[in-house]
Amino acid sequence: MAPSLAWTLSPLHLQGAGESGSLSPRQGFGDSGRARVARHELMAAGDTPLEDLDEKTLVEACLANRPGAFDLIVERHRRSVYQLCYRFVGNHEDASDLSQDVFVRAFRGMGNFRGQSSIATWLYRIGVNACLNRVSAKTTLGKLTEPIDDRQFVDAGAESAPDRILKDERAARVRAAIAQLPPKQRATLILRTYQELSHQEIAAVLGRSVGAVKANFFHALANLKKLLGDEI
Amino acid sequence: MHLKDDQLVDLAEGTLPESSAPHLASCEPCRRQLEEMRAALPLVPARHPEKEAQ
Repeated sequence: MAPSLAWTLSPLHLQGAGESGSLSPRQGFGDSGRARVARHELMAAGDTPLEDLDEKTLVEACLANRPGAFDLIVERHRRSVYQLCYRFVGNHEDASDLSQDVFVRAFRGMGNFRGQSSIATWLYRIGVNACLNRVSAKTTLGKLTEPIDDRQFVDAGAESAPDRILKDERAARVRAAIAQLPPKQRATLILRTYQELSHQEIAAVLGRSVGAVKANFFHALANLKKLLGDEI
Repeated sequence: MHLKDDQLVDLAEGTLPESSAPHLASCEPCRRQLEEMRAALPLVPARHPEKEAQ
């Protein structure tokens, strides 16, 4: 059974979120329906609906404690942030936990968002840092080499059971090999191949030059091939 | 002078045509590196768990 992706931040996650004084915990997204409800509460008299705001103004709305503003950011970006985290940790439980952590950090750090990059890039930057911290603190290689329940994400009718098993095993070996790459190479490879970011976007996320990102990508692929050898 | 890493990436991903790198024609090591890179690219198929779950 596929895990529910309609996760939300628990009150525990949001503890201290208002410490900076710039945001109130009310702006959190404590229950699953709140984001949806919030979208329908957007029309404060004379105000532009949140959905029509550009990113910079949406961030300003968050900082001004406008209800639903941060919920909308979460709703727009939670899938891509979750996917990024999943690629780093390789299992749904940790990916879900990490992606919540990313939004908590974003919530707390919203005042630091300068609008020099898109919100997506900013969230990816937070996400990559959170993921790299997590995977370096917790050696997940064993976990990554477990047959992750990818099976639930493929069209079972499209391939035979033996084909599916082979595909799953191959994917698990690739994940295990990616887990052994140096952090920057790993991040670059994930952002490029799984998240399909351009080299320019990756450079913005990682705070590096495009040339450095391409060099990282080159070495990541070369190392990946070396690690996998003729297995694949 | 051999091709740089970023040039090899662009050639492997097809964002630069091989005609833009005449050095390839005369350099076996660069050709080999490019071939290896092209072979490595499909090792990481893009898969989006949530999209595929739908």
